[in-house]
Amino acid sequence: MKHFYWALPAALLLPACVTINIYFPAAAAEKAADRIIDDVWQLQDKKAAPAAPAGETPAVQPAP
Amino acid sequence: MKNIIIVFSLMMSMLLSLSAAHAAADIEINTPAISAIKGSMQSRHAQLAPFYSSGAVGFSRDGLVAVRDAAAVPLAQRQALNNLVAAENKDRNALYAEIANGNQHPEWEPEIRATFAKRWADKAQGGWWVQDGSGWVKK
Amino acid sequence: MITRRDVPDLRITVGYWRASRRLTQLIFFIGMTWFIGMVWSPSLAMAASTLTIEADSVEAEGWQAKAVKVVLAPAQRPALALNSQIKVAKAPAWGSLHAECGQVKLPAGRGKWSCQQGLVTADRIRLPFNFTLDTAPVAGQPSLRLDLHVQDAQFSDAAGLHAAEKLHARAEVQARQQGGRWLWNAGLAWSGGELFWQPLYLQGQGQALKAAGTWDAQALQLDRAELLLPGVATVHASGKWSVPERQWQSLHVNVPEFDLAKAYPALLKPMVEQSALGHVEMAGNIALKADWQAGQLQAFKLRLRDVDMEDEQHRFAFYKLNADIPWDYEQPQPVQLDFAGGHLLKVPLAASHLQAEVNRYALTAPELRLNILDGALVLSDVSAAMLGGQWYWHLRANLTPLDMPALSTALGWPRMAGKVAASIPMVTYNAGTLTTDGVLGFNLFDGSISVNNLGMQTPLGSSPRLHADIEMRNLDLGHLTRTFSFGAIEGKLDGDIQHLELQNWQPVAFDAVLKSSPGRYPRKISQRAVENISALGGAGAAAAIQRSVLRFFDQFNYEKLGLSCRLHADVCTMDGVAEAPQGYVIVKGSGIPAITVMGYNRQVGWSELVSRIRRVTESNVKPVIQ
Repeated sequence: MKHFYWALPAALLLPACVTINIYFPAAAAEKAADRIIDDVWQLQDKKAAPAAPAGETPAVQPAP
Repeated sequence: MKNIIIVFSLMMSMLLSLSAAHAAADIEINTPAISAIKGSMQSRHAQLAPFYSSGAVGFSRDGLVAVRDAAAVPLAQRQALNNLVAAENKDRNALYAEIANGNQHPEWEPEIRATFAKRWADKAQGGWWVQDGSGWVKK
Repeated sequence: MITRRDVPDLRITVGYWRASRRLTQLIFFIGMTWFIGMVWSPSLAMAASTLTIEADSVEAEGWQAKAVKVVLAPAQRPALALNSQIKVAKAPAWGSLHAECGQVKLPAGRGKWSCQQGLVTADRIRLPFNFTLDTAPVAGQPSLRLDLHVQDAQFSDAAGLHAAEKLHARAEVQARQQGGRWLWNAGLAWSGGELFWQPLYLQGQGQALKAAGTWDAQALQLDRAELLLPGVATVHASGKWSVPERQWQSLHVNVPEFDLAKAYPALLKPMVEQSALGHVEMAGNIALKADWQAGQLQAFKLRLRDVDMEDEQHRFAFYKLNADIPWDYEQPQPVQLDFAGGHLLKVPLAASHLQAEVNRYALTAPELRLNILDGALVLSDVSAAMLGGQWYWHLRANLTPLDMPALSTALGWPRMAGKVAASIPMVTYNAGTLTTDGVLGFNLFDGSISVNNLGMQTPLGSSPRLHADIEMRNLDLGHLTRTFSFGAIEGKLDGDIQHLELQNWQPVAFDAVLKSSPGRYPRKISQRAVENISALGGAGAAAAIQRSVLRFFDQFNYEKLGLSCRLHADVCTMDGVAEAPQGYVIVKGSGIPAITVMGYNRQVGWSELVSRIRRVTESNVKPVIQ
């Protein structure tokens, strides 16, 4: 009997893993779909493209 | 000893579910695979758009495109149209699977497909054809 | 004297008529009504101005008709008209069928029947025709001569996938009965119009079919048939069609010469459009013989003569390809293929000769040697099989030493010195997934690179994936930095890239550590390399040295250097060879002047890092030093 103790956590974990029921993020999926569709159909072309965010300027800084 | 193991497993399972639920808050679409598919669909769109307008191709309920009225296209172009539709559907199927896989939830593929089907139809231009429960409808 | 006007029209009405067989019965039905009209009309014409036959409903296996009305009025136009509602078994709704003859000529006894200015219309069908049937016996034997012209015809199925427009064609059939069977010969000439029979699109430009044989209730014997495709090929065929089994009991097809440049775009491309051969430019000749038995392909023999093929996407090309590809369902056949040159994914291929054995749907070869530049890729113990439309194969691969300068130039890479060699113990491909067992070894940059656990999914698909673990040992840094114009560093480099994952050939995740190899060897780093490493760090990375000192020395000694990057979710988490108060050490100096390059930013966006590497290695633009 003692030999099978190791299997207990596994046996408990297994159903725990399987029954994890994550709700489908419908709103996020819809937003993601819209972004892809806009890209594929190039629906944003007519609007002015937003200015690219100012990137960090690579620089060598003095050592502390 | 037995109790400790049980408590431990319960804690583990709670932890697992928590972390998994947390990860589900957003949908990741910026993977190279998705970008590649998106790029391929983007470049195909210019070829497909005239067929959407003429009604030759419509948006089906399963998130794909379908030849709705081949007669709107000259005979010489029909196979090109078939190939275009087949290539687009291959990309679309791959896209839905990639989004599901990229978010570590392959089982979400049907929901993602359904979401896309709805959004393709909602965003379709006036004059394009979409398939609803009863059949083809011109927007 | 009775004039026609005075006589009431004759009307025959059938309530319900049931036929037990299929299409032949439709023809029989139409023929019967026609026959009645024709046989009776000379006498009737004297008595009645029109003959009308009506049936409420006609039913047969496979189709049904209702409201059938046939009107024969020889003096009028049309002389014969048939109107009906018709429904084929699979069709969802009733459609209307109309057939007419503008003029009919009727037989006096057994003679010539003709229908001029005929027209058949139905949903999506418009078939104008002229038709002559001569049933006069020849030498006392029953015989038939049929001549059918179709002009400007069009038809289409509901989906538009089988359709024709402006079709002009002529069919001639001659048959005579002899000893209980019919001897026939037929000709079909297609002079104009276009036809789409998914996936083929053809234009009528003089294609012609000539055939002859015998026919009885059991079989249609095709003694010889010749299909002429002008400028492309002539197809010869013979065989036997079993009437009760409705299939080719035997069929033999022979195409002695097929001009690929003309045949590929029209005939072959549509068939293979979705495969790797779907977008290729082809030239050369092929010959094909094929045999079917009981409806199943039994054997074929395909010969390629001086075929050139070039993929439009430049993925592969073969020149002067010659091949003998026999196949037999019953016994293994040897396959031979050789070509004068080409390329595969930009890797140049030299003249090669390949031999394999094909056994039904499997292919085996003890060795396939693909000559590449001055070396070769040798595939051994090759075994491949096609199951359910998917390929499965496994092989061992050996790359004999290749001249790296020539290879890197051919691949469009920076010119690399040295030689490359590799051995792959086992490659397995299972329906889209490629895995390797054992270690792939490369010898590059005077060191060794080994790749473990290499796997690929859908390598030729739209979103290929790759995963691998890579181990690099004792790479010569001088060699490496010159190749990628990074600024000179002398020394040796070890690298470990664990859990590398590529999607569409772009990295999405890895755990990489690059650091100086252990051991004794000269370690020097140039001023430019220091600046470049600093630039890689971006804001927050810094060279912990005095500006003035940098100006005086061209190169510095170092004790060790290293950088690690763990890529996850598009962010690279960086570290160096040692910890420092607010950051990490990338280059640890030694001697005088000592130079230490520090990194402070531990989280760097991957795309930002890639663009920095590109700036540094490609444009040679010096980083801004404030």
